[in-house]
Amino acid sequence: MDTNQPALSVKDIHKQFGNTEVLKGVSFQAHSGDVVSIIGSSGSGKSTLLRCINFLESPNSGEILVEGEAIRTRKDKTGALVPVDKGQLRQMRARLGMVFQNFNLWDHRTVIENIIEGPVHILKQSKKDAKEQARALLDKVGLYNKEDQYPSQLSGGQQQRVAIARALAMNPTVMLFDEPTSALDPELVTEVITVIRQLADEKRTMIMVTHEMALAREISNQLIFLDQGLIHTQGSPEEVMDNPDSERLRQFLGMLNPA
Amino acid sequence: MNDFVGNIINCLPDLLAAAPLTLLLTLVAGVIGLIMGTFLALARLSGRPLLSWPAATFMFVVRGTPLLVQLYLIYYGLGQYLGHSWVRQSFLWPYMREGLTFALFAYSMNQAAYNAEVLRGAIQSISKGQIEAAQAIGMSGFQTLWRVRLPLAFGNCLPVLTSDIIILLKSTALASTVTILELMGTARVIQRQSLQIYEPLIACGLVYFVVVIMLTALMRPLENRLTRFRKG
Repeated sequence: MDTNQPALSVKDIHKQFGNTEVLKGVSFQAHSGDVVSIIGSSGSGKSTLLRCINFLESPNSGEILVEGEAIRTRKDKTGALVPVDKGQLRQMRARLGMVFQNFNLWDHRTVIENIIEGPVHILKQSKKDAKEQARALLDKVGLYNKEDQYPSQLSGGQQQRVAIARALAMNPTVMLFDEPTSALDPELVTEVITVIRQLADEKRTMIMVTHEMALAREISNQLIFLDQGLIHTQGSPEEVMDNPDSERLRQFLGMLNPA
Repeated sequence: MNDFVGNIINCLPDLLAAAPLTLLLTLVAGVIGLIMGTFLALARLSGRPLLSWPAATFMFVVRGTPLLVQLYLIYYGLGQYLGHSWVRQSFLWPYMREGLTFALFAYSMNQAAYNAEVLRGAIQSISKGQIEAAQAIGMSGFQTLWRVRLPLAFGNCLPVLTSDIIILLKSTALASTVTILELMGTARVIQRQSLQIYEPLIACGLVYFVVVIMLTALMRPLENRLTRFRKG
């Protein structure tokens, strides 16, 4: 395979809700090992952008490519893009691990059942192998002794770490994080950040929508400031944060770090 | 007084012999009703008019009319009509002539409509995130339904389904009006033969009560198992 092929290409994504255009043509790329953080105020379209990548939202136009393979789409009568081949979409989704703001662990399954669900039923691994791998992942996120608990028995931070393990179990090409610490109590944020930092150290390809500026600065090599549905500024964290090139960006950064 | 108690006790053997028929009606209609009800609920929520409209109409009509009316219509109406049609010549007729077949049909329809309404609510109450997590990992629509939506829905509404089964059990007493000698039918036979009014009814009530208690005791462990994930 061409090694210069980006792990993920997002090309000219437009998304409309009713008459409101939430995304007005957003493009970026992530190469293998890149950590791309997307920042911006609420309503800037950053979560929508992330959800368009794995088609939890259907964009109105644009293209998503994973390792050079495009999700094949056509326009439906409402003007949204819909997948031509649902099987292909499922395969593409399996390569895009998603971590949600509200964890979204399946309530009726134990921790380990949550983690092996995808490997067993999507990737068709044997239950035994999947469990072995799941235990290793639980160990990695510091929850080795919790495998038989139900999500309702865990704290938010623990649930989010299980959710990260669940996404990792699919061995995805790209990990998508949708504000992974926003629903957590402040004292639980650290334990999740520690895990995310560890993934960055391992050179996992990650796209992360976040409000954690310190984390974004520390682990990402590409920072995207999204404003009113467009990429306003894009660059290394130092470029974007230390020398904000516009009033709007200064205003946004100032809101976060009133000093 | 001794006579009164003695009379009640004397009714019990015949009534106990009729109890299995009551249970048969309940369980068969309960199972068929649950399966049909699940399909009805899914049709109702499918968002496709060709499926959701008939389902909604069926649920509305069945839930909006008395069970006794449905029983009579099916037994006297459908039964009479089929009795004069080609069906009479078919090999099925010996079975269809039985009141039991028509009663099972009526009770199953009824139970399906009620279960469908309960399940519809339970399926709708599942949080969107649970379904998105399934989609995001690459599950098909059927996998999402079978592995996430239905288990969560049944967990949500099991107590209501259980109480609907108890209601079904008690409403099988109406089957006595279409010649079925289940508990209530048998009690009425004893009434006529013994010329006692109250004793057979009291004995009959007692047997229903015991069966309900037994059924509740059977469902409790199932409820606990299917909802254990809720205990925090």
